[in-house]
Amino acid sequence: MSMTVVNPGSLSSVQDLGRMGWQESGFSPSGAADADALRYLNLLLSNEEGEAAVEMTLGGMTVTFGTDCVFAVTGADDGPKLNGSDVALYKAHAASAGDTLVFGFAKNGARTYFGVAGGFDVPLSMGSRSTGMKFSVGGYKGRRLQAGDVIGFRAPVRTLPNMAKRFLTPPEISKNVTLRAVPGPQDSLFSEEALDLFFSSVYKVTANADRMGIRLEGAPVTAEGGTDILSDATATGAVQIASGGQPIILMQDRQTTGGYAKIACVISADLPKAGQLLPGAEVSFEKVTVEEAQKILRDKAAAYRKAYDRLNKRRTLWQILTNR
Amino acid sequence: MTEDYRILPVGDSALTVVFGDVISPEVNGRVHALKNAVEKAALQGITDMNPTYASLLVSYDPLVWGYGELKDRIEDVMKDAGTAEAGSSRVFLIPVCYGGEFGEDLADVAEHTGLSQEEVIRRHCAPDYLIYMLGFLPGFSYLGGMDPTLATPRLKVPRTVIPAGSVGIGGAQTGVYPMDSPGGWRLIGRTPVRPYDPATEQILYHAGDYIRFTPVDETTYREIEAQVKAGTYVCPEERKTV
Repeated sequence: MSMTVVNPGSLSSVQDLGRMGWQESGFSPSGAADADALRYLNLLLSNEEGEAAVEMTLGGMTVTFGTDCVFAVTGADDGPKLNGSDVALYKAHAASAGDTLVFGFAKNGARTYFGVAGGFDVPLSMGSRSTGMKFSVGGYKGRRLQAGDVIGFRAPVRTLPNMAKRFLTPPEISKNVTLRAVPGPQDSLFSEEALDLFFSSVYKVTANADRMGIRLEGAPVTAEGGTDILSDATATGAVQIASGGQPIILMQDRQTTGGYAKIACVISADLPKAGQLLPGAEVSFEKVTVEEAQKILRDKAAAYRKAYDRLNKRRTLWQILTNR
Repeated sequence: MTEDYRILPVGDSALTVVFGDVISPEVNGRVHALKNAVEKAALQGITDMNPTYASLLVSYDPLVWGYGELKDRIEDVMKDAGTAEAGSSRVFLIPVCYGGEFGEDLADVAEHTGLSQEEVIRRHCAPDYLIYMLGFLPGFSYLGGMDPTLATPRLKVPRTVIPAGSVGIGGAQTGVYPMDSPGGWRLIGRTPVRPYDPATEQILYHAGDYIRFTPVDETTYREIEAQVKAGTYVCPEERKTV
């Protein structure tokens, strides 16, 4: 009941929706950089919403299944092939023991998610299966995957109910994005002009973009008194302005505290887009209020529930009788 | 009564309660008092809290709480909690072997401060250090209370690897590296105690607790190190009234 990693690709690790409740002790939450891709992956696989999957950065992974299972792939399209045949993303597929799944290189985004129905058999550490790579906690042995790793399956299945219906329209992943953001908590350190500049500029993603943070390059945003603050807590999506005036979007492996002003925070609904950004992409920020952001998130949750119902609704007697 | 705190949104899933912008035990005490009160209120949908020098970050599920609703609720909790009540805090006694291979920079610190090595150790072990907050690395504590005469500038070129347990001085700050990491602090000693035990998933101390360093010789260090490895070591603690 397992699969073997033949080639881990450039960076693959086990991630779920993150490790909550440990930031006061200095543990970053970790978790999927594109949480939407993970949620929809699990929806396709009939898993719990936050079941752990393999997150691949820029693809390149190859695995061999040791067990019959149902798997799916979401997020960036890196042209996966099962025994040489194309595998559609956002669709549940059956695989047999001995099959090999090969991922190419990501074309339209930074991160791809691959999971199995029933979940991977990695232990819960501090309440989560996410790999905290900086501090060797969770996931598969607390580290990124390597060639030769054998990852167990907790409860593999050969098929799922409604198997033929277990597909979704892949969301569009755009290279250049507008991220909506709520100003603050240190927006008051910046002048009106500096805030306007931040919300009207186009920034470029630098090569320094990873699970800790995405460094951007563009019009420097400065504050008269500087951007050093008394160290306070960080949040995923917070946009720090470092001493040179360049923004950094803090991601899931961020440090839990920091000493730079946070001009704004990317809204939860748009964070997955940040998780797909590739170096060279263009990013702009659009100001929204916290109330607007929460409304956007509620609408998104409603869309998820609708998709959930479509995939998991029990068939009516009429549908069974007419074999629909 | 005018409000002497501010509540601000941190995106759509967290808010921060800011009590000031200074490092002081009084301000930090209010942060911890609020954290305790929110914990006691056992509000659903609070996903994480992170107390720092002068503010408390409260993360929440925005499908459970609207920002305005939670802000009001936190203000109610704060009223009920009142000011930080006098109570007792835990003081953890952290054994440290000073100098030698464990504290390569002890001689430099002595030279910079104009004190003997023995006096540096004595002054470093004298205070109860308040853990204002944890961050930077798991278990790394931002301590307050170092004797200002021990202040020594950081290394010009940081070391690429500092072994876990190293006790250092960086400017006016002192602290313990909880895991192997790069760093520029002057190393004066090392403790075999680890703040986080992966086997039990227990963290030894929290923000709001205190630390006192106690000097030990290398033999004792090795004994404690073996106990830590075996999972049998219990870090001594005292209580103090604050």
